Amino acid sequence: MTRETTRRVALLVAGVLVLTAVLVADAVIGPSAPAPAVPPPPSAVVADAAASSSAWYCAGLAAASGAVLVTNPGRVPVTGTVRSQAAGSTAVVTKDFAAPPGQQVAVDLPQGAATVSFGGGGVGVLEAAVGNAGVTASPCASTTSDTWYFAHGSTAQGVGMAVAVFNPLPTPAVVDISFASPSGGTIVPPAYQGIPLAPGQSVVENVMDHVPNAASLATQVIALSGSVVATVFEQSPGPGHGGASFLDGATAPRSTWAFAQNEDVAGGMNSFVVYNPTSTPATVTVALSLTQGQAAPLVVRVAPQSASVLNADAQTRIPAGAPYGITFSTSSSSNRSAPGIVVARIASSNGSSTPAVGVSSGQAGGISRWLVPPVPPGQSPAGLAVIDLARRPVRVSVKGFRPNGGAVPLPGANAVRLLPGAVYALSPSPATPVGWSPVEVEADGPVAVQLDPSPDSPPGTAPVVAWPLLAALG
Amino acid sequence: MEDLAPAVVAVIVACDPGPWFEETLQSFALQDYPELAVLVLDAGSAEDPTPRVAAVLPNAFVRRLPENAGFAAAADAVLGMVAGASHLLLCHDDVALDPNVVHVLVEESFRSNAGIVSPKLVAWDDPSRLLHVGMAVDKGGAVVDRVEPGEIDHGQHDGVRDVFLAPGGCMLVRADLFAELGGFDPAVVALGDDLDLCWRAQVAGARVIVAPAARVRHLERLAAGDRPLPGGAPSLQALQRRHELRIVLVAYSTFHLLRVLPQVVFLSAGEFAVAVLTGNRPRARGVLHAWSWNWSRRKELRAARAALRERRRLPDSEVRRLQVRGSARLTAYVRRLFAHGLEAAHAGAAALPALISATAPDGDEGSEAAGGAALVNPAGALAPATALGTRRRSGVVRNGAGPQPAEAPVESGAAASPPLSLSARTVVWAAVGLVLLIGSRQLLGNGLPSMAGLLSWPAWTTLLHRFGTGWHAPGLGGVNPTSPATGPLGLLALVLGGSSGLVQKVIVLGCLPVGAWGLARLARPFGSPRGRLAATLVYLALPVAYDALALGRWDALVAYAAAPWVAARLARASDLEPFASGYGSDRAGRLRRRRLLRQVIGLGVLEAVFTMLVPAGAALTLLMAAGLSAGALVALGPTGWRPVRRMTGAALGATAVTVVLLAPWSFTMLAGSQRWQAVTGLALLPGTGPGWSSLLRLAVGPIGDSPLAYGLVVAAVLPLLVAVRHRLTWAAMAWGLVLSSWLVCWTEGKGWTAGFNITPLVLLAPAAVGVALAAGLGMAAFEQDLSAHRFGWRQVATVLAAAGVTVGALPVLAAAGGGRWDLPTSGYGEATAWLSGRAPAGGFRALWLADPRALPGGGWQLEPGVAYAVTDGGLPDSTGLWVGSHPASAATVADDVRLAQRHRTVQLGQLLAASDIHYVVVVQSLAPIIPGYQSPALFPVPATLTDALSTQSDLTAVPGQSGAAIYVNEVKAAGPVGANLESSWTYRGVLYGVVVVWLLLVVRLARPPTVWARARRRRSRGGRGTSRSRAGRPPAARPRAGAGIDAPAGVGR
Repeated sequence: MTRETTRRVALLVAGVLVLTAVLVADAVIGPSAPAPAVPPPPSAVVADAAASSSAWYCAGLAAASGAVLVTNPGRVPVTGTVRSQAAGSTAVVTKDFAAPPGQQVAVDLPQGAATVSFGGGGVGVLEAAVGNAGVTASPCASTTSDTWYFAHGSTAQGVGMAVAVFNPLPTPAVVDISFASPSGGTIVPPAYQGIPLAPGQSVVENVMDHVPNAASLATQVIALSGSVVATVFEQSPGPGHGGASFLDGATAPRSTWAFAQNEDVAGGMNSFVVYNPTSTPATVTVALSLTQGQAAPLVVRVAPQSASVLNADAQTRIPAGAPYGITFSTSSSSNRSAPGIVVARIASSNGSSTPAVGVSSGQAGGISRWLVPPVPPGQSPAGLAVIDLARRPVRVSVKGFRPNGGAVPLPGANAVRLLPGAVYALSPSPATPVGWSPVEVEADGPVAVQLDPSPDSPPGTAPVVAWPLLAALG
Repeated sequence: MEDLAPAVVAVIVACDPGPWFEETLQSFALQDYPELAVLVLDAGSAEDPTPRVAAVLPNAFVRRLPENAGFAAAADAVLGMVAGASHLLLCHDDVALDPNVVHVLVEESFRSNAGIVSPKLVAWDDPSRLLHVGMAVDKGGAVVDRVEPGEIDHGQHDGVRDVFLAPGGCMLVRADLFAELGGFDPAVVALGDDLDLCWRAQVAGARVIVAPAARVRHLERLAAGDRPLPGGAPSLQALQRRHELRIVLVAYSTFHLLRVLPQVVFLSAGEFAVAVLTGNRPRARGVLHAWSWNWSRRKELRAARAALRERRRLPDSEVRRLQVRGSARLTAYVRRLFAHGLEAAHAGAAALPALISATAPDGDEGSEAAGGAALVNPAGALAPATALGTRRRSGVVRNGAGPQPAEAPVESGAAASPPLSLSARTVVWAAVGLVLLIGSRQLLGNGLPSMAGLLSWPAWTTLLHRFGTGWHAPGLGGVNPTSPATGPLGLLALVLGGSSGLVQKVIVLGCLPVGAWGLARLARPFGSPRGRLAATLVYLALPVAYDALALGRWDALVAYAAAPWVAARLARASDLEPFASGYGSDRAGRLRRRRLLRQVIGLGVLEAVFTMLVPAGAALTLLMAAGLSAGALVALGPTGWRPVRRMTGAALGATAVTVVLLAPWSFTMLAGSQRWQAVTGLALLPGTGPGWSSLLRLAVGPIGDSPLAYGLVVAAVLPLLVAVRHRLTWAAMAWGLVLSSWLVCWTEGKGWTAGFNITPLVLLAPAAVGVALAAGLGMAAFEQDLSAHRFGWRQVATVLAAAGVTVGALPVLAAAGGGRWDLPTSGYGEATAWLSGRAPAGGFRALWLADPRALPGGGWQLEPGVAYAVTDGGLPDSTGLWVGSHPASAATVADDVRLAQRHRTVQLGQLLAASDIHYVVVVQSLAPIIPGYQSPALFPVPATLTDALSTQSDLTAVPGQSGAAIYVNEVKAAGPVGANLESSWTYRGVLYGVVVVWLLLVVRLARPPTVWARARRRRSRGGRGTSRSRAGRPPAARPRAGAGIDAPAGVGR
């Protein structure tokens, strides 16, 4: 082999080796993974205490007069401003208020959507309505969105269902409202398409007017332009089976929803509505956490743009009269991510309590830190439940806020070990004032929490919904 | 009993016969055939040949014809004159028969029942050399000889056999057959009459054979061009073409004519195109004449076809048995191309004898037919190529490096490349210019859209003012040092008359020709004009530059323009052939060091200009040095370290010079790694970079997004397969450039380069230089190295490479049709023009947020995949391309945006108002999306950013064109936008000092130093290299050992 040939062979071999190595490496390593899609935060999140400003948007108050309940777990008083504007009106009511540290303050408002603004963060806001059917409280939204999903509503048997949409931003918005039922099909009332919302304006749509006698309606609010806040307000008339509920919506379907505490009381009913707003079928695994352990999971299949109702009473694996936690999660196929769902719970008692029925949204998975407000005025706390949503044991601490700042674990509630799916229940006491004072639930994995306000009503009829925390407040 | 030999009449057609005529007549007199009569037909000779005939053949008949209408017409006269003859022996007047020729031919005619019998034709002066022993023909009528030119007769062809064509010098034809066919075709005045007769004879059922036992000497004065042609006849080449075509049109039946004619048309078109491109006008005219002449005689042709149809006794399928397959002319061209090179191939077979005679020991000139007849030896290749390769010294060796000192290594045995004709170069460059003009026509007429790196230019006064004061608007305005590009660009704008639009077009579109020019200069020292042309064409055909234009990346265009110049400087620094200085390692050390210093300074000035326009230029220069060095090490082994040291040293030294020349901007970057963003680029979102297939095709944009683009890269592999010596070395170094660029791009895309984020379009400029240079070296190797090899895989590889270049250029050619290289029509200038109308009095600022690839102008990094910039009064102008090394106070704006992204504020407007920001513009596409009008590339920003902005309580989204979301800040700004700040005198002092250094260096580089001039004079007196006389005329070149000598006359001119 001549010198030239040797050189030539060496060059060709070197070039081929380099190219081959690169191609093999590219195939083995694969394309650079794009940055994982960050799911939008839940609709109601307590801002960092060091935030420069924060705001809460209470759309439900457009449908029912009531108050905003401001919870300040911090160690300094917080001042804020509430601006309230009734639906269809340009008149604005403004109130300034101060929330003492470690306490909850109620600011009564006339009927109208409200914006609560603060010069900082670390404060949670609920919207509460009190009526003949009892008290309902739900978190206001801490962000606007161009999509809102509600798993349940009903216009059957005289139930009043209203969809309140509020545009708190300076950008005009246009929204569409549509519905889906368990029987399949999408209901798109023409009157609910292209609803304009000027800055600050709200609108309340009485669904009964256009979709009557529907036992279960999942609702979808889409902002074609702008960004809005939406809430469903449902009111069941009559003694014995009445109740009012603010149903806070989800800004995006998620793969996991949980209800930490449920109970099938005699004569009562628990049903869960699973709404699939996506275009792919969802296979939902329903995990049941009983006192004696995990029950065999159920599988529910939900068609695209449809809802499915799971009656807990009909499940023999759920013992009557025993508390249980329930988790809904979707699984992913080999080449697709898990489709998201939205889940709501309808809990009713045997009519002996007030409220007798309540609708509430589940808590999204993936949150490991919660701020639990006190129960609304006039109510007494029943107990706090925490359910482990991770696939591994987690350690949970329930912390109270000290007057001079900081959060300390409550006695007996420090680093409690929870097995996957297990429920930790904490009853209120002088030492553990859950429900009387704001508390922080912190875990080293995803958990869901639930605070029930009254021992008379079954869990879930009027739960106090906690707020996810982005950062520790203490 | 009497011998009843059939009567034969020998017909000699004479026209002004020369002194050989008596010998011809004597040979007829000595025939041993008893029944032979001789008839001399004089075709219009000036002098009556009768006395000459009578002196030798007193019994011969002489008939004088009134004019010279050609051999065919003259021979046809015998039809009316001779009766009762069995055979006719039709002869030229320059043949000499052996005594037994007539006897043998007649005998064989009866034995083989042949209608036409041909003897063995040998050279007049040397009967041992064969001329023809019958001939073959291809389907298109091109004649194929059975013997090689100058072949010695050892009896290897002594066998009676069927042939297709009996050459016309001497043939025995059955008289009845001749009469039945009507004789020759009188329209065929010369060259082809024999083919016509033999073809028609076979169609009529007659055999055509060769009887080698009959030997005839032939002078071949007609084929040599010494014979007077009938009045008005064109050249021999044109005659041959038209007669071949006529015969094809007459002789085939309808079915076979329909089969063959398209092939003939196709081959003719190809021959015409090649002839035009290579400047071979006679050949091109010949092809055209053939078709026009036959078209004008179509009635004649129809009549001839009808006549032949009546006589047809043999189908064409039988006649075709004796035809050569394929196209003999094309085969001969390809063989000449690979065996002897382009010049020989285009000169045709006529030039081959001259080539062969230049090398053959006895100077035999061969015996090819004149006029480029495609004569192919079916037995194999022509004279051994190795013999030609070691002897050939054709053409003049040209070396663009200038004088060649004696110790410069010169190849032995390598053939230098003949020059490219001016007409060919003109045609090629005219075509290239036309393509570029067509591809850029809309940009030249309508202007460039304002987007990405293509922004409007301010007035030259503004540019110079900003240069002088150091103040720049990007960010919140300030005197943070930035690139001094505004100074020279302001001067350029002044020179161009101050028209901003013209300045922009010159600066943007001018990068293409500047890059091509640079590559031509880089390829020049290799001494192959075609290689240089090929390299430049490939560089222009690569999609890199056009993708840069389509994506609005002016920095990539500048890199495309500068990279070849940088490569050329690095090549000279390497001191490798053919860029060697010739000063050796020990001689003239002082001169060598001074030269090296000059190289470093020159490269440094170039790098400084490059870097001030494209801040990544310094990094690119170092990358190119690394790539070339890697290739040199692989190609040269341990001996490669010396050029590696030189190139690396030159690159590092040049970078140091650049740092000095770009002060004080360069000094600020040394203050910390966080200030290197301007040089290293901004990070993209993971997974959004180009894939490896786009990188391999050098097509990371909309143009070239096709597998065809691989063709150019494939063509660049050729020199690695066939080149030798320094061509192979430089091919390896070119590929070192390519591979290093690809590797850096690929690792950047994987996110492995930790802060090094130069845009792939810029990084691919060196790869483009490498591919183009390698392609040019492939062409040079084809010309200079391939002749040493027989036909084989190397030639096949060459064909594949040529096909690769052709195919690879198609995507760019296709993109030229659009007229604007896929650049969007409308930019953000129009979409944001209204911003100032709605802004508060006193001025305003705008915050721009976008993917770095879509951001108008330059910016800083907000997060991977998002860049930001703050501008005064809306869309930035081109000075916004060069942001300071640090955002300074503009960093607070970025912090405010991050607060909003982390949900730590809902009043971003209030925070931005403190910086007088009235608008927030989020750009998500290269240009506005206008449905049905333009769909530019999309570069979305993370949803967390848009969601954060959409949920602010004091930002109002403005409905507008898709592609950019604009938010109006509802909070009133704090006050008027800050006035210009004055830079410090220290800054100005440094800046002006650097300007002085620039001027000194440029002047120094432009003027050769005294010592260089002295050295040149000393060399010229010592006789090294060529020299100039006092009159300024170069003296005659003197042969030097190992150097090229002048070509023999007639070759390469």
